[in-house]
Amino acid sequence: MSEVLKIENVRKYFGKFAAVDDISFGLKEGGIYLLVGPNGCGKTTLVNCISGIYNPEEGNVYYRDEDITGEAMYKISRRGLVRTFQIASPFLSLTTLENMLVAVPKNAGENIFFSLFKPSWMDSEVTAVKQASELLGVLGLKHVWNMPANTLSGGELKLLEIGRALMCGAETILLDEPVGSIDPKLCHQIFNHVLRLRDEMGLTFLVIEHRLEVAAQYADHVFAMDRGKLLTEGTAEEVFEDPRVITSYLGE
Amino acid sequence: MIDLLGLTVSQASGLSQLIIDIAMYFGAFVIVAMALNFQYGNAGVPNMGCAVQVIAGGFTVSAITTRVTFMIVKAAGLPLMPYASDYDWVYNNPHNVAVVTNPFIETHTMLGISLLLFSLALALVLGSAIGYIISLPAIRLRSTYLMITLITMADASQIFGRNIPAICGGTLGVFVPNVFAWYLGNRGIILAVVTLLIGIIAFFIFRTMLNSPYGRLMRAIRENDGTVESVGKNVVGIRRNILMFASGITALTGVMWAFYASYVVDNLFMRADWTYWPWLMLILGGPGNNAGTFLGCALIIALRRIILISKWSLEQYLFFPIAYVENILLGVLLIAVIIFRPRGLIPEKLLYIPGINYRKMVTGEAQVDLGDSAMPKAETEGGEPE
Ligand SMILES: Nc1ncnc2c1ncn2[C@@H]1O[C@H](COP(=O)(O)OP(=O)(O)O)[C@@H](O)[C@H]1O
Ligand SMILES: [Mg+2]
Repeated sequence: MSEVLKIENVRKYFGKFAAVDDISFGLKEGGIYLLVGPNGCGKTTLVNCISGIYNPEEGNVYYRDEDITGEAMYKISRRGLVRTFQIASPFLSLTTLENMLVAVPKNAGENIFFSLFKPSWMDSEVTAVKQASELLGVLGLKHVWNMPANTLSGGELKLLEIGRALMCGAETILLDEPVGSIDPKLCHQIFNHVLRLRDEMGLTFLVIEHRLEVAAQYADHVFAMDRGKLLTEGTAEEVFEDPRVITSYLGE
Repeated sequence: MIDLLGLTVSQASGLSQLIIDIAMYFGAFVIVAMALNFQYGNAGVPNMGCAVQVIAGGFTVSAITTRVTFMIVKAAGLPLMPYASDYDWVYNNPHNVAVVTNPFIETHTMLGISLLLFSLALALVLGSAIGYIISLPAIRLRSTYLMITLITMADASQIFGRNIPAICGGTLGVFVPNVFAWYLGNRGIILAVVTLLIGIIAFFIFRTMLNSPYGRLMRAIRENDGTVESVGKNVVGIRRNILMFASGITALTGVMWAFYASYVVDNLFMRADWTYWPWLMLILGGPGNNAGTFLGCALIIALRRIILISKWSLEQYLFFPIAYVENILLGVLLIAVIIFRPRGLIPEKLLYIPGINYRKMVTGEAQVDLGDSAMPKAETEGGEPE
């Protein structure tokens, strides 16, 4: 299997403070990767560097062997590398279904002029609704399809984050704390969705999580970060028994 | 100044003129307010530079249509006084327009109509160009800073108009040809009718766009532009298209207003008139839906008329100049709306895309109520789709 996402010596500074300090790793296609680290260690900043929100000061990001460092977020997303947000960021006044539909790539009706000619976009809209409806079924969100996002619960919003990423044709998904502030039962439900999507659609996931235990059983490979640096990597057991990781969480 | 002009005319010829005037005002402002609703109400672009978009149309008429007309009139062999230098352009303008050009259009209907259509088409193009220019800071700036920048741009364009005589005669202004000179009845009627017609066409265009996936995308950008970007949409490009299109439409108002006033001078397009009042209309009526825009527009125009007519009876009680009454009252209204009805008189509804049965496609069950709309079961957001 080839490496679908590769980052090399990425550094991102805020002033003199290196939030991401010389990080390199690669993700193989179809893997579920877990990135752990205490709060404030730079996980979100790293995701921002990969997804195009930040242009890292040093280092490179490669997606499918193409250098995408510093590319605009929407271009990176069109390549199939999509991220979700730690703080769920739905379109609050749109319904669940509409939230999903906005993510459809190349919707003919989303052109300022073609929107005036309904026959030109009817077909692509209907296809999109079918796809969205199917995904809502998979994620168990069908019962709220017609509710504005501002009425959804925290867990439903997290699922919607994933649904939106899937809807836009993502092949590699960076999930920034997909189960942050969510009860354990729903956590496992969400991770089971992730497993299923990997198995059925061959997607690659990088899951960010600051708690060690929640996601461990689902990950093929774990990275541990502390203060902007990559401490260690390996299987869940290897990483969690590493004294440096334990110290990073518990202190000296 | 505009109002005084309107008032004197309406007093001169009674009630029917008042109605025509109000129709003209409504037509002109509803276009601006609808375009603002498109930009701010739906896409969340806080365009505080509506005036510059209107000015684009006004200056098109004064600087280009007038010259083109002169060229045609000259080619027809009529004795125009020179207008090449700034001085001649300004000082010979009343003669050239009133004595030579207008009588010529009186007998050449097709010329008048062509000049009108030419001005509208050109304003659409130049308005869009202005939209492109004002979209440049929109790339870097967010809400508050963008608002300030656009206010400044509108003021700057007024200053350009005042100081470059070639545009609209500097502080003196220039007369523009009466493209309706061929119409024998009341000129106000045909101006109001054409303006309202443009308003109606614009309404249907905006409505179709808003009730489509594009409208959904616009609302999504308003709610969370970062998220839209994260699913692969070029938000900057979309915003730019929105600004360009809305600017083009708004510029049409500038054209009609210039013909209505038969005269263009920089303060025909004051920031208060063409930026603040459309905003007030939008906020009062309720951003995000055209029905609210109509209501807000009608209310503000009616209110301004009432203030205009009745303010003199207040004069003896005031401790400040009477000219400020209108601005003070409307300012107070704006504050009151923001405090007591922040979502406006008609709150925004859920998106409605007609002709697709979303419910059936998602849940598999046929719709029992409300035809085939995607409305929720009469919750707070419910109601008739526009
Ligand atoms: N925009 C920013 N400006 C300055 N410092 C920032 C910014 N974003 C994050 N940081 C800092 O960078 C560090 C890493 O933050 P973050 O990546 O959000 O951590 P994590 O996601 O691992 O909790 C923190 O110390 C945070 O304060
Ligand atoms: Mg984080």
